Amino acid sequence: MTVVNRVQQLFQKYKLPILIILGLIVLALPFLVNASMVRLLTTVFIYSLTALGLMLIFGFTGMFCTGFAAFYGTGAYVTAILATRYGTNFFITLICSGIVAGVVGFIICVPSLRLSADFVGLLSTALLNIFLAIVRAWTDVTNGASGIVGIPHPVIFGHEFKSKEEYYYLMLVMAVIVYLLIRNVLNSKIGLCMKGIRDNEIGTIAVGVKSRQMKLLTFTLGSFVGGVAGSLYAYYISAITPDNFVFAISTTFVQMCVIGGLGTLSGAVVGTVFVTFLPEVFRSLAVYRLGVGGLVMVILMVIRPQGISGSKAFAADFSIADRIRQWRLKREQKKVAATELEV
Amino acid sequence: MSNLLTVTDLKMHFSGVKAVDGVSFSVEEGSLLGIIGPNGSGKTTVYNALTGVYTPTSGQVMFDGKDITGKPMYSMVRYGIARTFQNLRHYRGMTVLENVMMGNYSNDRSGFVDALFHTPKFKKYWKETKERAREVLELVHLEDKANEYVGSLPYGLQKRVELCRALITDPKLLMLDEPTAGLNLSEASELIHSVMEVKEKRHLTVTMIEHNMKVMMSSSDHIIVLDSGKKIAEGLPAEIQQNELVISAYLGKGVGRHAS
Amino acid sequence: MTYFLQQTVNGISVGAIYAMIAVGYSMVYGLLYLINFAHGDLYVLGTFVVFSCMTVFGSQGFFSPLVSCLIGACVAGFVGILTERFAYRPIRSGSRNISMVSALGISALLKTISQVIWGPESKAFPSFLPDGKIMLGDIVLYERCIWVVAFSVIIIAAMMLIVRYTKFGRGTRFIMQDITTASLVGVNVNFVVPAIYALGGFLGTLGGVLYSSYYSLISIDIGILGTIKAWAVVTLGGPGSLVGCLVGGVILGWSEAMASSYFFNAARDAVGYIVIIAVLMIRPYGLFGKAKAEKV
Repeated sequence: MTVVNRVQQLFQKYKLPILIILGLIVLALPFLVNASMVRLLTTVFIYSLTALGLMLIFGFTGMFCTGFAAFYGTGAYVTAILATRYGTNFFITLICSGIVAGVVGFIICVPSLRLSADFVGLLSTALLNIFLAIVRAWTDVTNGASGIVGIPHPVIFGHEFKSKEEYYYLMLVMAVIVYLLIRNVLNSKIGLCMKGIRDNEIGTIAVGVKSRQMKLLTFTLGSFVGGVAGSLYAYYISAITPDNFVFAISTTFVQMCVIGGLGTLSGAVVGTVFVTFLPEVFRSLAVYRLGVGGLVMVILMVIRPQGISGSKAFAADFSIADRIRQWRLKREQKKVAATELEV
Repeated sequence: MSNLLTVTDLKMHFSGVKAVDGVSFSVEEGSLLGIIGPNGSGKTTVYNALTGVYTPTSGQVMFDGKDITGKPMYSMVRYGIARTFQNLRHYRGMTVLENVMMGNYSNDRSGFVDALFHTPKFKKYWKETKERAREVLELVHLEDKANEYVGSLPYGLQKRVELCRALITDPKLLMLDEPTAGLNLSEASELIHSVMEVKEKRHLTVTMIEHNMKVMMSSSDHIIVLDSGKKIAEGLPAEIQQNELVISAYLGKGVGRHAS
Repeated sequence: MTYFLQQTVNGISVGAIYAMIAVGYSMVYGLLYLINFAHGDLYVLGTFVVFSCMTVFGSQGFFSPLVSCLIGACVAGFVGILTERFAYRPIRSGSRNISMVSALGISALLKTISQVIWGPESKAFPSFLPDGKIMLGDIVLYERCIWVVAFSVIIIAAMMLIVRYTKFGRGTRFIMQDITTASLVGVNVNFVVPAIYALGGFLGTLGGVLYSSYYSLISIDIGILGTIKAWAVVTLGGPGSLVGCLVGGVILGWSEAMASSYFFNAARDAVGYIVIIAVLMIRPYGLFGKAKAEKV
């Protein structure tokens, strides 16, 4: 029994107490750690939502999407524009950002349904480029490359959220709410459909699922969540530029999902934590963050494609231990064959 | 007994290749129709043309009094047709229960909003789905494996899981594609035994593509034989066994054809 | 009218460059149906090597650029072989999503390597193509456009000959049909596949060099741009089809030129995809592509 399996077993057995303890720790953290850690954790909450959106599209429905930053960015810019120019209410802005991002996702998904499965990836990457081009060019609205600054603090029921602790709790609550809702969807026939389409689309259609509609639904939902995350991001850092949404960011989101574990809800969180904290742990590696993440992804795909959380759907047929055994066996056989030739 | 399924002059052409070239047959309600033929004779292609995987080039398919020619794959369940696949289209990474629950999709009338908030409507249907899934698993004696991952089960049991997923849709017609392929003698007879049991209990009509002659002859009420896209014989199992054309089709053509 | 023709000429030259870049990509995609995300970053790495070589050897004359190009292309080819061996081959039998994730990882890795060695800023790429121009009436035909188009056509034609008439080419065509059967009929899959990746890096670098000297620019960001262009060209022209690369590239280049001159600059990116979607609606496998059968 491997280490990970043992950890997973322990977790299953003591799920509730562990979660309660973790929850209490998370709630108390702003008083236990220093300021920069609080800020870092707040970004983790926001990024984990983005990872969640992408996880819905990629990890659960199997649509490889490398341009996710486009939805994230759309949400952020809608929020920035609405909040700075029209001073709209926090919740309205949030929902609008999500809806616009969702609509964009919908539009992108439609042509890719009839065409090959790879098309979504191409189209979403193209979308990202087009998004960046539009943002950079449409200076009247988006201020071009200089970006939009001075996004006001969120105001909920008269209370203005400006300190880092306030942001921490706000983002935490938002993330938890979205997570719970998405978890509901995943533990339903819709969640089953998503997984079914990912694992065997034709088999799923055979039991009556209109897979195209489902894919459209999931993609729109995922991009909606991405838009919401982008909105929270815009509020949090209060100034955004097109450079916040380049392709490298999209890749980072994919890394979060992959490393955390595709096809699992916890994977989005775990992956986000991992990818965000790794460069903090190895300070000197921060510049190489993208490359290191990439290397980790490749290594994972080869030895443990199911990532940290380990959904069975992505596990390769052989575990790491099996592969090592196989490799050793092969080496032995080669040696024997070589000696036989000599004789 | 009326005919549940009537196929008339079905043709399936792929840019020059006549995979199915004018096949006609009908299936009596409550019977088991066996479909045999050498590899490449078009058996699975017939299935695919009937169930919406392909749109037939020409021909007509009447099911339960309705014309279902060329209707899309996802509508088959609504008509009452369920099928299994030659290369097992189940979900290895999900549990047995989840695999079977997937089949209940069209009976679950809850929507997206229900799923989002786990409304009482959702809870009702979800519970129902789980119960029906367990029922079906009990039918084939798999209920103790409900929480195992399908990928870790032996091949024979995996096939049974796919069968369950088809059964939970409550079909009138069950179309099986090589159900005993890849199974050893005991697994094969267990599976066929399960199929016959379910057929009786649920008053199903079954069509079955098979290569295992013993299984075919003992369980079919009626058999049709395909070769090179055409029907070359049909009749009772005993008749088919004596039929010269059939024997030469199997022995004369030899191995090495593309899979159907 | 002159404006139109001028833009057409520009568009076709850029299109030829896209075609060059896409050739290597097309072969990998047509072969294994693997979206090679790393393609762009791989050939950018090669182009950077060429850049450094040219800085060292000088960029004038004939031999110095040629040698630099060859060195850069070979480096890219070699890296291509390495990535195939360690990042793609072990997971070849797995699901496609997993291979694509691996490719994405390699892309990030290569980009970071380039960044570490050459820095994130864009640099001026020495132009070694002749600077002259020919006047056709009112239209300016830059000599370098002719060179670019000629070069692309020659290379692609050469590749087509190789694919059709050599043992290696036959092997690739077998693998494109079905990789398992190919190994059964005696194709040395573990030689052909890495060779295709190497060719991808090699030819891609040549394309990248053309691109960089045409626009006098090199930076790590053109990596992903190149991957997308290659992808677009191959989708348009059909995977595995070399003629498709040329035609697809020209169509893409031309429509971009038209869009950015007659509409606005941002339209350039969008129009390519509109064209592709339109084409795919009529011919779902690209202009010259063939369907890949899936067993149901």
